[in-house]
Amino acid sequence: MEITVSHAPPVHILRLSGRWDAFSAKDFEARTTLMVRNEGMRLVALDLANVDYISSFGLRSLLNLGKLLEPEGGKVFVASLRPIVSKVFLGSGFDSLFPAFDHVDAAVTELMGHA
Amino acid sequence: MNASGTRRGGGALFSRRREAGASPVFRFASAWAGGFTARFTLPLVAGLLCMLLLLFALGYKTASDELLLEIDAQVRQLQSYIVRQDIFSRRWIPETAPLVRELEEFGAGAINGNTYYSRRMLENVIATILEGDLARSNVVIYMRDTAGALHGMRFAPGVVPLSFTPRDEDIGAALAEMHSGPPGWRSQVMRVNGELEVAYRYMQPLFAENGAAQRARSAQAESGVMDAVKEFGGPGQPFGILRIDVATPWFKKRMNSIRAMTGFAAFLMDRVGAWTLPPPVNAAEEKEFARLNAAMREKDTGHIFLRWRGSPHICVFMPLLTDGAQLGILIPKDELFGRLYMITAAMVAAAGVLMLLALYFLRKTSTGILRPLRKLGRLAERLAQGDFSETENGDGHNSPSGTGATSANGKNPDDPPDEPARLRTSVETLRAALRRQERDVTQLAISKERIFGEMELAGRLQRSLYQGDIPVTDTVSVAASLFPVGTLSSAMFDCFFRSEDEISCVLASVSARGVPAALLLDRVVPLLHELLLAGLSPARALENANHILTSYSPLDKSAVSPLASVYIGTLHKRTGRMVWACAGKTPPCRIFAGKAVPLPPSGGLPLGATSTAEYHDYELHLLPGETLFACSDRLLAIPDKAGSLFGETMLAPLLAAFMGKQEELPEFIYTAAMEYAGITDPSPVPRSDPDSPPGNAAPGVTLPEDIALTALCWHGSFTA
Repeated sequence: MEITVSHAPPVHILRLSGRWDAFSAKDFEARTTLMVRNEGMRLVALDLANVDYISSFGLRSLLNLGKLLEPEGGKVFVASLRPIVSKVFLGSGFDSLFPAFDHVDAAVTELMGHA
Repeated sequence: MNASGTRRGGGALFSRRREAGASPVFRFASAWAGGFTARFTLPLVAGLLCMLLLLFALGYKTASDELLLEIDAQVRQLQSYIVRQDIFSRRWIPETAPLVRELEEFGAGAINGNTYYSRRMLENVIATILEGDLARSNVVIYMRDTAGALHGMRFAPGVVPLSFTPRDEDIGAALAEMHSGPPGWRSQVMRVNGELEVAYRYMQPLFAENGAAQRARSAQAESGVMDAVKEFGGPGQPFGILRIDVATPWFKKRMNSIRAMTGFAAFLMDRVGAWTLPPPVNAAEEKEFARLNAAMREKDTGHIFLRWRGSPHICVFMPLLTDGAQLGILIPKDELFGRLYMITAAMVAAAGVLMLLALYFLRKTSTGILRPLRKLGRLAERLAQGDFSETENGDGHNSPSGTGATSANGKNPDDPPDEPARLRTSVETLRAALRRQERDVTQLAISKERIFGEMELAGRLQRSLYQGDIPVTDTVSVAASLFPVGTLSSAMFDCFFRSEDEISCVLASVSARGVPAALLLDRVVPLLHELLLAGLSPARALENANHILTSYSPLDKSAVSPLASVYIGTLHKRTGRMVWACAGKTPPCRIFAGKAVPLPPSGGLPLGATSTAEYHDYELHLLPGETLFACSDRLLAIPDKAGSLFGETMLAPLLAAFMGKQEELPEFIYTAAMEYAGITDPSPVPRSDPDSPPGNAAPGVTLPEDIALTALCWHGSFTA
């Protein structure tokens, strides 16, 4: 899975592509942890338009990011979920933890309101 | 293990193998490299030294011969100059004598036309002698005319001819000199103004002697008294003497031009062995002179080494004139061979220095490179034998055990080591690293053995916990299969009688693998089992289990422990009423009337995600013969080679089309999923990291996962 980072201060936009499985979950965790600790990342918009699949490992790494940001007052919004990913989100109840948006711009706009 | 014994054995084997299989070139190279010992080196150096000395001797001999040849050639050239001068001067003598005879009367002053003509001719001829030669010549004529008067004429280069009246003693001396031998050339080496010259004197009577004169000379010879005036003719009897003196002022300069010699000496020796050399000063020199004299009389040309005036000289000699005289040149040996001596001494000294340097560097090479390399070779052999124990260096110090901090020659590691020492240090470091690796591997093997044993035990425990008898009733049949990849499974099912009339099926999988997964499953599944047995509904059981897990599980509060995705279904065996709930899990799929319909998502979070998660019970009534199929979500996430997921779009048609026995359904679906993924051997793959995919799989490569499947079929009827 590839992770591309862009900024719309104060929001970090992470564009993910590929399978968000056990392989990529560890990379995602390591990278986002560094960004939180070193770059002060607090508001995160995840653009999942190019994510083919998310496994329970991926969900766990996403939950880790959420828990990491929670004490800092940070938030994670997801956007542009493909149907199969959306189904996993709905089935696992993660839509209740991480608000989903149709487009990443909407997620960014919403996050800016929390800044 | 006896290390030394192993080394000896290994070394012998190594040597045998090397000698047996090595090429001749390798054997030669080995003998060369291995033979750099004193036994080999000293003869080699001695041989090289001998060759060097031989080359020097040959070079010295060649240079010496060349010098002698050069001297010989130059003296010969000198000789040719003198001879040419001799021939040149001699050529005019026959023309001089008749002209003088014609001037018989000129001394009386009666210069008529003929005598005037003859006088001019004589002057011209003599001027030709004086001007044309390359030497300094003087021509003197003594003459007595018919009137008995004495006349003299002298010709010298650049000087007007001078007429004079000779004194009696001059004439007497000339006569005595002329009569000291036959008419002709008399040569000598003399000094003029301190310069060495070779000079010739030619004396010849100009008129035939009368009988009285001859008689008088005979009487003089008998009495030993020379009466020159009387002998020099008498009245009416003309008489004359022609004397030509030829000197070579260039002799000294030309000799000096031969290799810039200054200390030479020249001498002439006539055919009877009389020479112009000064008499010997001592007996040794007399002996040397005798040897030289004998050599010169024996052959016309040659050279001889002798001591003269206390120093070594070389005498080069060769014939000078046609009268049999020989010219000898005595040259100090030091002047001739001085430069050769100096060059030879310098070369011998340089060769000696080079030889010493060669020996020094040979020794340095031997001690600094070859010996360390041989040690390294032995160390490499030991390493190849698996002997990683520490060795003792040649200087008696133990090598470092880990870092190679001390070089082989015991120098400070901060000093820049030479290459062998650096190599030695590197090899020592390698040895230490290998030693550590060996320990690590041993520890790893022990740990692996222990872990495998423990995992095998954990696996047996895991299977014994959940692989109980699957409940079977007349109205409910349960087919459940677990396809674990490793010893410990991250997916599990648990089917049991919740009560006399209810059968519960739990299907759980965790977002981890290996021991962490097994630990979580070992907590979750028995916990749910107990909660269900306690009478809680599936949703309440999930809530309680989640509460317990989130309250006690995470060691790191900021991190998320592995999540558990769970499906729980409880079926009443007589009514077909099914109550189910899911935690982060895709709901089961209903199979009836040739259709397979997935149940809608329940929306429950996985267990362990958050303590506030809420779960809801869902209820449905199975139709007679209806099957409720549940599987691990990983089954749905299996991709084919193009990356398309197996998913419900593949699963549902397979379930709908399945016509076999209900207990074969799980394996049928699993096999179909493996075929879809292109996995031909779903055998267990060892895992190095519990959280990573099995084996050394790379991204994009599909490998088998732990998968559990359950199929719950109700055979009851509504009437019952």
